[in-house]
Amino acid sequence: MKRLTQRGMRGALFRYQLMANIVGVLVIPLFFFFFLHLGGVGSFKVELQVLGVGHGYLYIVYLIAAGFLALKARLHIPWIILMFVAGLIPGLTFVVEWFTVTRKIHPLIATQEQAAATSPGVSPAAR
Amino acid sequence: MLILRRADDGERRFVVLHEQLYDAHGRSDLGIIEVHGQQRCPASVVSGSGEGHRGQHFPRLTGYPGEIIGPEGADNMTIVRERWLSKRAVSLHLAVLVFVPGCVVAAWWQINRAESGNQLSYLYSVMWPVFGILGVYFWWMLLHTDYDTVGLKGMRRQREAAAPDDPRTVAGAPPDPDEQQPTAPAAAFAVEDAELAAYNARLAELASKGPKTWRAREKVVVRRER
Repeated sequence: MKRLTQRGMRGALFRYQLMANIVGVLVIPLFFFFFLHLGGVGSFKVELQVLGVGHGYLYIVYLIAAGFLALKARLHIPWIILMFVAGLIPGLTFVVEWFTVTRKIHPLIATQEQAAATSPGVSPAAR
Repeated sequence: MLILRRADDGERRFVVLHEQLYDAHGRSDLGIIEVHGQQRCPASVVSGSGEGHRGQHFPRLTGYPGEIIGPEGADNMTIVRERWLSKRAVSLHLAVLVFVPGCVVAAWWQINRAESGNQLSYLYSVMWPVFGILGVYFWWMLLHTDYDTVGLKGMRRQREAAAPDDPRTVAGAPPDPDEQQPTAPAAAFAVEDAELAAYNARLAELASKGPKTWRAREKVVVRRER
């Protein structure tokens, strides 16, 4: 439990950033072709199928990565929902990822390292 | 007697009571808390998390294992109620109650579409149940995640509580003799014998292992080795 929800913050952060960038890049052409399809420019059936299914399954991986990062960092539920929804909206993925990393995770890592350096008793390896 | 117990405000809180603390303090109204008892500490001595008076009562009694940081005497029902019926938990229940049936309905819709000949819907009919399972999983994990000890706000709160003397509160008023009195327990902890140090090491080891949860079933009552 603790291994899942506390240790390995940097690894979880890297996985979240990787998946956020992949999903964020994929969702842009998906919406692009979808609006072209709606606008009657063309059918774009193959593009929509490939991008839709690809984004759908990669979005599952994104949810797992974001969820574990949120569990490890003890993010609050509205922010978790924002992270999940951001994988579906073009452009918002990068914004939310940026704010998550700079406002939430990096201060938390700094605080944890400071606490580990100052508090006695438990060795840093045990954290 | 040294007793390690879980407090009722969170699963990662431990309460340690030492008879030396009472002797040095000279206060009998604390009471000796037995291992299986449900006796309650006076609220003026042990203030709960977030009440803000902890620094006044125990100015130095935070920051190392063995501190008294939570109210004693919580039974299991308090913990269960806090975990499952708090505001946050209820919102989680509501969210999962909306999300999971939605995923079931969507999966059923995609299965029907796949049976009626839409090849693409086979892929989507796998995806929606996965979303539902993920929802249940994160619902469970978020219910069993303690927010106070590791999260950014919780760590900042702990650091503020562990700050030795707040200049804003101390500088204005002249020192009150009643406020000077509670430094005695800290002094009692300062003169650690080897036995107590070993016990604290054991405590730190336990605390690093995390609390007793549904998966890690470890006893939290620790006795001094003879």
